[in-house]
Amino acid sequence: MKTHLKTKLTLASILLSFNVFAAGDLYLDHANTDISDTASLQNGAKLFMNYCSGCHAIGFMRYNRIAEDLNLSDSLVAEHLMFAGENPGETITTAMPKEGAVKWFGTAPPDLSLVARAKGTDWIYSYLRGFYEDDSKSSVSTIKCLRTPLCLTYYGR
Amino acid sequence: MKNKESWIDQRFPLTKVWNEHLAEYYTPRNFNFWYFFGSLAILMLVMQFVTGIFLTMHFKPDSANAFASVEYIMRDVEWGWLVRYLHSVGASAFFVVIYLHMYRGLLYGSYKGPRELLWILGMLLYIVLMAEAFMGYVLPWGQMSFWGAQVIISLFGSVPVIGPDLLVWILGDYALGDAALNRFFSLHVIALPLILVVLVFLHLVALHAVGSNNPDGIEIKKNKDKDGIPKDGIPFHPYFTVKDTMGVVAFLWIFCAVVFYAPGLNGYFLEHANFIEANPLQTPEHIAPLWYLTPFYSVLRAVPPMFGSQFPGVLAMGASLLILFFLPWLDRSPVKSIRYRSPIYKWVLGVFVVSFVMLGWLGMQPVTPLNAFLARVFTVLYFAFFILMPWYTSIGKTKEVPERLTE
Repeated sequence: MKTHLKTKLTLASILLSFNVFAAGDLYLDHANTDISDTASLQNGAKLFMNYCSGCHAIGFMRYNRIAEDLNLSDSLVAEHLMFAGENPGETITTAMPKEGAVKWFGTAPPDLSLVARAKGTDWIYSYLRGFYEDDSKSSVSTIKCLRTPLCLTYYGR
Repeated sequence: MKNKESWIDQRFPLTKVWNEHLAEYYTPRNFNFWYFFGSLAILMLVMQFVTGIFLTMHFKPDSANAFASVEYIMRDVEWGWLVRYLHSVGASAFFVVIYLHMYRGLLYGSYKGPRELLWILGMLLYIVLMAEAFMGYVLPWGQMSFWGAQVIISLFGSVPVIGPDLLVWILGDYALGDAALNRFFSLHVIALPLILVVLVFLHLVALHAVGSNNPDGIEIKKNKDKDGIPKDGIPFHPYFTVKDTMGVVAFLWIFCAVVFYAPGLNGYFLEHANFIEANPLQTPEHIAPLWYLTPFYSVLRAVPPMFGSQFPGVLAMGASLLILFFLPWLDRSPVKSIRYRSPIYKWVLGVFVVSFVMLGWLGMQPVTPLNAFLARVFTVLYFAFFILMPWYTSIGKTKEVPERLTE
């Protein structure tokens, strides 16, 4: 019986120590997110809507869902996070036309509804902090995908 | 007296069936932990049916809408997130239960005579369940759905001569797309569940004909009292209905913990890359099936292409499943249960378990020279377990099996 238990524990510890989805060679900073910090989340929503939503949709998310999750009233969200007279029940799309985006950036900026689930919060954190300005005055990221423009470099200063 | 029979019994054998299969169905009294998983598998089947019915109400089997419809279920459908997570965690939990159920068979020799057909019906169930799970995983139409399906379906294209035509026939198109998604949906919600139900029924009919094996591997029907009731048997109802209910409660406790706190289980139950919509123009860096298919995926990758064809790998993968069907005839041991087997068998079984787990793990990893080498070693060990079985089960000293159950 004792040996059985030992075998089981060994097997369990081997299984747990496998990190199946290690991000390869990419070094990621730890995001240290706190989803109970409502003020920080509200700040994040403000930053996203002001800086990112011009190009990136979060098409599976609705404005009133943000309001509910972040302890805001619909009217507060309408006042500060909605810029084009949308209805609070609408999904958060972007004003950037897809064809234009392809012309300007080479590809349409991706929808970011599920980026945290697909890539992880550490990846987003490292991505946002990975921009720097090189001598040619173009924005460069330490993470591949170089098409997010300079704005993040400026924001980082 | 006939007139004492109830109105129903005169028209339908309700009492007869109840007695034969529950109240007077005699079951060995010494069932242990390993005997919970049969009833839990039925629980999971029902769970998948019920949640699947509700998912089908909202899912769109259309390559343009499938991904968004799953997110619609997750965010906009009332309780949709719960139904979806019950279904997705349920799929993995189903395989956890089934693997433990099958391992129980290995531990106690439950596949040995007279239970050969019971084992074969169970193996058929296992293979249909894998097809069912594979097609279900394609439906959300994420990157892993698409590319996983691409890898698995392209295997059919490697069949000599008819391969390319077979591929087009399966896909209903020249490439994986809407036509394939539609037919997988049809197979996933109608055809395969029907087959599963029929096979479960046959599995239970076969079980109740021969009776359950037990941890001692002793046939309780050989020792009956004067009323023809096995001395070591107790009625399934109420004894095991109550015990299985306890198992269900314990199981659901763990199951719900996963559903509510870690539904993706860090990529094991819902792969991260599957939260990106399928893109036929962008191959992911690393394609892996879900954990329950990876041991066989490893076998597939372990066999190198021969004569410019991947077909030998496909054959090896098929053989790794088919060989399980022959277990009842490969095992020559005079005893059933691990309790009375020779020390050699215990070591061999240990090596087999390690090989299977390692193949599963390697199947999730990118191929490196070391991983490819390990996969080959464990593939050889996996097959050796079966091919050498007639030899190692006939040598070594087994313990004497008692007449009656020991506990």
